[in-house]
Amino acid sequence: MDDQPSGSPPAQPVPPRAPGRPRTFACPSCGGTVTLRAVGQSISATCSQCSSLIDVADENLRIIEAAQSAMQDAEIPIGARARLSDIEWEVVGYMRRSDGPGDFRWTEYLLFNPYRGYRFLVEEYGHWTLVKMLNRDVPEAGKQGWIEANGRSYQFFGKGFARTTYVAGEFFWRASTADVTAVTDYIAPPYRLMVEKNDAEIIVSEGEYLDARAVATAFNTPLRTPSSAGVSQVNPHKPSLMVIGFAVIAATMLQLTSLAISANALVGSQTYQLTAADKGKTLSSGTFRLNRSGNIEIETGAYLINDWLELDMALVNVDTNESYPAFQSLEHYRGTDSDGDWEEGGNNGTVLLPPVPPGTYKLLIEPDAGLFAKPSSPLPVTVAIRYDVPIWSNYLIAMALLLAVPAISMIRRMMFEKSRWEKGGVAE
Amino acid sequence: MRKFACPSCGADVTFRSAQSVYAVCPYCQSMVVRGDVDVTSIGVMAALPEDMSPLQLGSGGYFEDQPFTLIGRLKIGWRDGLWNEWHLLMADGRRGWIGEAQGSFSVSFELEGVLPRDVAQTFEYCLPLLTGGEGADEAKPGFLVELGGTTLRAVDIKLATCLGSEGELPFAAPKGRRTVAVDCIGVGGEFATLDHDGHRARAYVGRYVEWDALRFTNLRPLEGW
Repeated sequence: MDDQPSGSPPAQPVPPRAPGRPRTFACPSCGGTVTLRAVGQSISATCSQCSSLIDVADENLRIIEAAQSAMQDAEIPIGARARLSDIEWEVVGYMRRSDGPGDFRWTEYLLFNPYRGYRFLVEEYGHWTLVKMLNRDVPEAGKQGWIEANGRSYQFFGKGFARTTYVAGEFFWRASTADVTAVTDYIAPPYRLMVEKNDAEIIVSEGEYLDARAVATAFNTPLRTPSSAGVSQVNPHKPSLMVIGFAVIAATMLQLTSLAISANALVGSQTYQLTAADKGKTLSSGTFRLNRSGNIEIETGAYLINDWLELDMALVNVDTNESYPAFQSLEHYRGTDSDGDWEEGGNNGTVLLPPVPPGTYKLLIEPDAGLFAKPSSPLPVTVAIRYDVPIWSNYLIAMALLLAVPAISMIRRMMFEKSRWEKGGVAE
Repeated sequence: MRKFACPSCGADVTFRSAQSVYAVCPYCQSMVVRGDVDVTSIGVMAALPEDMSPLQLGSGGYFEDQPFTLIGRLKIGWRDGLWNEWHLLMADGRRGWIGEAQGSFSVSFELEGVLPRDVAQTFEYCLPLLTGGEGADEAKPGFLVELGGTTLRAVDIKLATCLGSEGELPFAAPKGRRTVAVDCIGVGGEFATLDHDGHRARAYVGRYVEWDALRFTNLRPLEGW
């Protein structure tokens, strides 16, 4: 009723037509009651009791096909109504169809509204498409490649045959389980273009992908979850490059700014010749002045051969005696075994201290090393102190995390497209 | 608008368009033809086959912002179905047609003057269909026709039979009147139908219009909708 526009009727010169209503008749095969909903347009209908297919074009009610094979129920029953794309539709029939070899099967529901005509609601493996006949010439229909139709660019998707294997309900054509048409499919997700060709006519229809949950809600009935990718389903894995791109640019700018303003100054460097005599002693660097707050990086280098070194350090503010501990351990071993040469550890290491307040500082070092336990030549150890050094680690971690998102989404996008295109192609 | 007394039952038979020559009495279904001064009955129209169309004689609507009223109807049948051709009278006096088939609505107006060469050519191929013969090899859907500056593609060719009529019409349309009808469509929704009744060819050109755009009023009630 809501589809009827309101307005004051003009003076009526003729008696109004009797209201339109569904019509019922007795099935010529079993006598059961058959209801026609799209009176005057339905040409064939099936008996809901014996499933005979009846020609209802005139009063003769000829049987087209007596009792089809076993009745097949559909997920949505005939007579069910739903509001789709803001129009109320009633299911008046459904057909089971399959491709030539029968590998791919789908169901087409015929929807009727006396004001809006017909739509097809196509269900393939849980994916739903609402299809409307186009009434537009598509000069390139049938071509393999990109074609223009109804103002959209469509990509060729597949070509094959559609065979009707079962019909129930009423149709505006003489439906039959002998129907075979050549179908060419094009996609522009969420839209889909279908070109059906037989000897007498070319029918071009355009479909729009519907969310399965929306269809279930509209018909108020549970429907199975879609499997794999829908033919004209919009790829759900968005490239989302915009947000990621902005994040990468912002992080890079931040890093470049921090590189530009960091002092990255060498404030002290000293080489100590360590011997066993230094065990238990505390060595001190010279004092240095930090004019503003900044982090401290302590870089240690020692030439170790099959030995270890541990430096227990403390950065001390000489004015306040505030102390910041740091610890550096190095080891370096190498040798030869049955697998050949091997090497473990290294001769260099760095420790990073979080920012310290401005002031005058010195570094106290308590060393310990393997060679302290035995008499040997002195071990030169260089300790360099850098102030306000730029940090790369946070930036690199951020980059890795940010770029992982589009990389994963790209892979999922590609997998979805692969699954979609497995259903396409040309069937000979 | 002119009124005549139905020669059969005496009820008013109204001709809202001066160009209408044929009408069916809404009360006794007599088919009347308008002469110079009165109307003559030429028989009785059988009841039209029932349908679920929301339209009726007297329904109003709009096409290209101009109001129209439905004044007549032809019920047409062909091998695989039925459709309605509603005759409409525009506010400016023009008369046209709304083809109502499977819930699609095409609005078209008869092409005046000499018909384009393509139309004559089309009928040369298709006319044998009218007498039960085979059309020429060219009489297969898919060919292009030039009509009023637009290129359209013929998408179906059928033998149509009038199953009845009501209201007023520009020609006599008794039950059983046969025509060859060629429907054509364009890339932008243009529509044309070429028909030939054995005596003369007519071409109607127009376009497909969505239900909402027609803004119909005074619709027929439909049970359950």
